[in-house]
Amino acid sequence: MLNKSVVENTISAALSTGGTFAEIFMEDTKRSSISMVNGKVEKAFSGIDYGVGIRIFNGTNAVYAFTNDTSEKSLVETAKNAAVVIKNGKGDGKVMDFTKKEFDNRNIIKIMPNTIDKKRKAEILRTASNAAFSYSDVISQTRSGYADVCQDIFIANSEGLWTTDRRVRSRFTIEAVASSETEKQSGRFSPGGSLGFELFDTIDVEELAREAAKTAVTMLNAKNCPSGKMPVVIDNGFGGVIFHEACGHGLEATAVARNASVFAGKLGQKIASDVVTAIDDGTIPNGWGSANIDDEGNFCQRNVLIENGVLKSYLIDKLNGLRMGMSSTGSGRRESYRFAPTSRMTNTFIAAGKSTPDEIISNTEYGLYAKQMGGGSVDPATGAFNFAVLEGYIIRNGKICEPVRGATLIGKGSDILTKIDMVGNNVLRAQGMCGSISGSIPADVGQPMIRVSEITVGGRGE
Amino acid sequence: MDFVTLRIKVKEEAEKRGFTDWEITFSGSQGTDLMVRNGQVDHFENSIQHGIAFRGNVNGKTGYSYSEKIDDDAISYLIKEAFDNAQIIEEEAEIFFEGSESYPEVNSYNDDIECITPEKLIENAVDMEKSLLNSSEYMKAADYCLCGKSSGESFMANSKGLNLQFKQNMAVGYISGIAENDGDIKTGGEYWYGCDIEKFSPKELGEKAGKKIVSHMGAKSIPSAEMNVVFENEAMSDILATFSGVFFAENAQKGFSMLEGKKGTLIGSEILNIKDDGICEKSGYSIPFDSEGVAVQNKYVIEKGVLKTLLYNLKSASKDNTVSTGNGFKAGLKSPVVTTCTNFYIEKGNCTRNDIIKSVCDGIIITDVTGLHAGANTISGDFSLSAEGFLIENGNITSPVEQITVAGNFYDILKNIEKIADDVKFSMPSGMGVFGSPTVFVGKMSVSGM
Repeated sequence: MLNKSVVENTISAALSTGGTFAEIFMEDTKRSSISMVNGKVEKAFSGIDYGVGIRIFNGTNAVYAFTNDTSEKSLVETAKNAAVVIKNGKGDGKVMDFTKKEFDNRNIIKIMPNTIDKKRKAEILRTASNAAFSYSDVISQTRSGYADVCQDIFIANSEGLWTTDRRVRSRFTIEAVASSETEKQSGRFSPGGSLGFELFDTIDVEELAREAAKTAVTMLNAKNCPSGKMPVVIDNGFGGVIFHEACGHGLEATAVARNASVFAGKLGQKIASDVVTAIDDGTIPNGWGSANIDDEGNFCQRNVLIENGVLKSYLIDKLNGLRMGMSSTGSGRRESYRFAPTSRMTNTFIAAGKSTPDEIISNTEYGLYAKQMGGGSVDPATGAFNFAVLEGYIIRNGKICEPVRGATLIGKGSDILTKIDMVGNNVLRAQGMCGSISGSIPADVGQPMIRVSEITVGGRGE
Repeated sequence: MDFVTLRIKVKEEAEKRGFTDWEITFSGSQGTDLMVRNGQVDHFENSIQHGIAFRGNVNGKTGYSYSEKIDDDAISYLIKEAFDNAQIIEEEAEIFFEGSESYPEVNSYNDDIECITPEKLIENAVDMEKSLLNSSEYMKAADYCLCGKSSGESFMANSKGLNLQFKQNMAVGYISGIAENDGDIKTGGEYWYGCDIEKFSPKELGEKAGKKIVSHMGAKSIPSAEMNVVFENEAMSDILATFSGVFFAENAQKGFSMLEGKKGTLIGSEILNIKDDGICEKSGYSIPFDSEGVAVQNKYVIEKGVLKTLLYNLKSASKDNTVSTGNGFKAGLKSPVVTTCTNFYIEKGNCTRNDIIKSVCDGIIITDVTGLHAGANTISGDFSLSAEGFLIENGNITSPVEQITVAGNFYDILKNIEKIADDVKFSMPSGMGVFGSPTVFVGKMSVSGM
């Protein structure tokens, strides 16, 4: 995207006051989205995000600058203005010779999204909306959405890195709302991947719409969930959001380097029960959170975070790696050139165990079966979380019984890890957007069905 | 590419594609922001941003597109994408505006701001942190201590002959801190913004934040009761911001506000005046026109308790057979036109905060409310919010209070306002506009505590 002399001159300008490291990140991104409410297209947007971010280190301090003007004059000036802040830098201003970093693309795209007519995309949304409405008369509202993005990036740094990558992602969303006179309940699916339009060959939008409608209708007729401490079986897929929020963020170097995580200083220690192995894997072909390289130009990796209950690794970016004396795990990510990268998750999941889902349910005398998880919040300092159960059932005598609504799961991530006592063999990943200091990025959560021996369940029922 | 060239090229391509109406907007900004921790620069960021957004009607539908790249290819892309997007839209077309008769003079650009060096910003932030830490023996640390400046410029033109531009800049300072005494931890912050840098005293801001935080130390919950409630300016301004959507005509038209059909009727206390003013010297935020090119107005939304108008953009105005009030704004290049406030505030009353405390005699003054996103129903007006404040006993502010919730209804509060002080405080500008309020006494409300 930029020629060699422009990059060299910009990095030299960035290092002119003694910075110890400098990096250029450039992107040219095309986005397109369509949103439909009740079967009518309400909004259709498209646009180009385009710009350059320049980052300079002085030891373990960092300066960041960004601009949309990618002319040489602007880049050199932006770099110089940022470098002004570096005082008494120890760097020698040397820029190493660039070596192009080559790799095989793991995320092959079959049908580029921009080759497909928008009308065809809108028709898919309409098909999904119709399927949800025809599932039941109590479905009162549907929202369906389509989005694609094609991000071309270029990264170079003073250590001689020179690399490019293209990230193409597509996503579909269907939400169905069921209403009675006094209540509203909803069901939702939003599958996606590092895929082009072939995403729609891998999913059945009508089936997803019916499933979303089924959740909404089931919950509309459910009674309130009882409260108290009880065993909770959390189903596969989006159930992994609890691990992501309450444990995953605590394993990011952003928190660990500041000593603001309960997992800081615990490498090699037992932090979870024996049946828990957790992985962050940015190398899964066509995965939603996958990429060939991270946003610092390091190869994405498969990082085993927890193995049989023992903490094996954190998720580390370059800057926090310097602060911690550890090397990058290919986890430096950012929303766009507007953000300096930091350590983030990619596709994070609890690995498969030995139990079948049937064994888990039949071994549970009484408890809550959380089939679909909803949103929640976590206090990052303590790992204390609070999540809504979108679709839940009571388990009685080893059988799934009546549906219950309004349940919330309350606890601390570090406690839950030690209380996972059964892990299923049916790993499934689900797609989400993860927000943190380097912006909002695509990330997969995931797990097989798991059982937690005891969680505090909040509910309004008897 | 300058804006004149851009406008000519867009016009040519849009007309060739069959757009009957079109609009092109350019916006650009520059900023410097930094954070200081323990007297050292912890984070420093320079930004230069620009982009163009297109909106146009073709075959009776409106298509949108944007680009941060500005060249001939980008223009072709904008027109093609907006055309394709319009083809699938199933909503009514938007209205394009020929321009207001006149636009207000706005003085929101100050050369002094441009002259502030990064060194000066660092010095200000260091001073701010120092004065916070020195303000009390209990101040343990500054949580966020940041200073910044930004300037922006925007141009817009459309097929109706509209051709407008606007330039603004401002500086900001924000500090928050953590105080501790024997395991009792309190946090809080203060901010300043504006384009008259002479009025910014980092030392005073740090001290003010420190005093505010420490004043809450030793706070306790109180037994539940119906009691006299005074909302301090900042807390009332937060509540007003949360419920501002009830004054948007587009919400009333969709049934999301109880104010549909209430124009000209008494909906508040007779001493209550609420204004939406695009030009406001006191808040430090002014803008001459909205994102549709309509001149902003200085208008009463509520005057002596009577609802004078709702807030309109062009589309919601045409539905009610009236004219836009200049409240059609886009949150950014990538957003559609919606309704947004400018400076939305309760006008000052004729007594002081102290007069109110004296006359209330016994009750509570609420200084902070939290949980506005989850604990407020913006349709019914009901809210239940976690709050902090101080007891009022015998006409004096006494002990600090925390872990209480205050529950009520926004529409009821408008009616129940008994006294309004003269200490209007404005919030930081956001995509939602700027909100302001003086301290108000709202009569008895239910407060739950222990």
